Amino acid sequence: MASQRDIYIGIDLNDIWTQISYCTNSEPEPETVSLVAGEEFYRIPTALCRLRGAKGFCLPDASGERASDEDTVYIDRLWERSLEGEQILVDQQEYPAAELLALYLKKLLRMVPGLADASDFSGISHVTFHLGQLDFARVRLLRELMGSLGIKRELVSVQDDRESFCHFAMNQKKELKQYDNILFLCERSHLFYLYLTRDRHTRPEQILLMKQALGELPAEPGMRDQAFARHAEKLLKGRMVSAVYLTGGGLEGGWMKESLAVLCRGRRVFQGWNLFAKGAGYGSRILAKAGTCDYVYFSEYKLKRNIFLKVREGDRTRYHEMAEAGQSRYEISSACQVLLSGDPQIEVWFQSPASNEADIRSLQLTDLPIRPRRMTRLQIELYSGEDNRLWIRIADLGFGSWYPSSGKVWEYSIDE
Amino acid sequence: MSSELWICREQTADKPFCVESLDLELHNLEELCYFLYENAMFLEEGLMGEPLFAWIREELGLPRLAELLAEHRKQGKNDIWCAWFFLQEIGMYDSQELVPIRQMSKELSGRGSFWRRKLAADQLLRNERYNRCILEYERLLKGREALDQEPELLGDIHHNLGVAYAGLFLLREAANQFALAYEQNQRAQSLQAKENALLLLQPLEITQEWEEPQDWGVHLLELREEYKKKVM
Repeated sequence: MASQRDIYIGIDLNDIWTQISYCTNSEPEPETVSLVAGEEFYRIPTALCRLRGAKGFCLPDASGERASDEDTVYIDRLWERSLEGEQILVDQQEYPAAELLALYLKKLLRMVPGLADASDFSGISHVTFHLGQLDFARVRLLRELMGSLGIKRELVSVQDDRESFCHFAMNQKKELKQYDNILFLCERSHLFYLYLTRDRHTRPEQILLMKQALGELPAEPGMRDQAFARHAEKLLKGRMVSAVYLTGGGLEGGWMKESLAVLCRGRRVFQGWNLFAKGAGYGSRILAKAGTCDYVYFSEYKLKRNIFLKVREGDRTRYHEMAEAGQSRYEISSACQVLLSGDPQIEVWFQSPASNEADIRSLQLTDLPIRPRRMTRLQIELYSGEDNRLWIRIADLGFGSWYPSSGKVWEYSIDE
Repeated sequence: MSSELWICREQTADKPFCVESLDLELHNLEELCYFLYENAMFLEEGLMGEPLFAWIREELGLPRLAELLAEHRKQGKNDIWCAWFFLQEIGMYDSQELVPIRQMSKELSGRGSFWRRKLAADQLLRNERYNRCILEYERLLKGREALDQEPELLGDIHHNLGVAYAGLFLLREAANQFALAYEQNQRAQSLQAKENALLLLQPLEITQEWEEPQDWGVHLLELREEYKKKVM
């Protein structure tokens, strides 16, 4: 039985299948849950089944058909359908797709050792989702779904393939990450690579990641092998690469001969299906600050700078943090209340972690009623909007019995 | 162009604290701070006591501060000192802003409520809140506690009343108060102030030749500033 809040979960979620990994403080290497015990059946269809006329839903089994028939209802594509806000008809009853997805995720979590018989999910320290595409709507939906399962929003994060690969690679053995790493990803025939480099001059080490599409691989196995070998040769030429990882259905089938020979020259090569789920599991541990992290990766969706308000406290001045560099912009939601004195404006400070200099942006509070010093209470909220931009909302709360609220609200987009 | 911000504690009390004498409800820490700062001199006896400390402890979630206040109270610290201590701990006002309250707390140490109310009225006078301070001085002079005070102190109160009336350009009332002040405190300042006020009340002499009238407004303002420097 897991101790209180000791389990870190990584979930690779897409519309076709989902993988779930977990780790604990005592076992920090993420394990991926298999649908079939003892086998590596990691890809669990993102679907639910129900026997017609029965009440409950269940996960598809490993051998089941992937379509409804006269005995069974098969509800697939739960993720996309939830994003679309679809209502799904099952035996004359409508269910919101999001509700079914929440049930699906609940059943997945119950497959994790320590959570099967737990009365709730309080044993979970953090959940990180890996998604192929990130935006505000996806992050919000996942946080709401987890919230419906009793997992607080601040314990739920979302990351993309670059970040998942970063966490996976940087938690491998020392010799594997001695030099650069490459991940080749191929779904159907679309080939991509992610190239990871370490900047050892910084503390913590900054990880640089590049993602590039390489186009489609031919369908014919021999030509496919040759094409992949050419791509690999070109990419590896003149570079020190200590490990190559291969993932995706497009690289399965045993057709890699020449390409493997190219890849394996002087480096280790690994092929697997649960890299992103494991990377999300590592990510969960890091975000929950369960272990030390000697590297940092600034994804494009993460803030590059800290965001502060400069505030007074007695004789001192200090900086009140609204958001931290490295936070995902899709997960930002912070608020505070302040008393205002002086000109009707709020100054927001932006500062890079490595720099002493800051940029200041003044947000004007037009038509704010004039009141004595410190007799204007303002609610300030920083959040990610549906347009995927950062917004700051300021509302006048007045001051108690002395000055009622004017009801005025100001909103500003404050992208860096 | 500049502005300053103070971070609030977002906790709002489920039950407001009622200051019954003012028919006022306080809902959070910042409102309490404002109330104490603006009314430190006029805090009713016993306001800095257990009901307020219990509210600070339970509704504002500051048990340690409530405990410290209770301890200081037991050690005999007066209401104004407790208010100063509270405000200093919270940090909504800087040390410079808290100086008058600290000063007043020291002056009050060992003195009764009559003196405290007199000091409070003096502060109103310095801040040119003439109407309010006139009300306070008159309450003091008409109250029962006045019978127990030294004539000199009562004379000083009359003098300050005179200053307040002069501030409102009510020179006849000011002269009357200065006269009453001199009767009781025998101070040369009060006598001089009375004579100055009477001088200004004399009708203007008009000469045969056309003269520029004296700028009485400026003269009165100068006199008012002089009086303010000598609040007793």
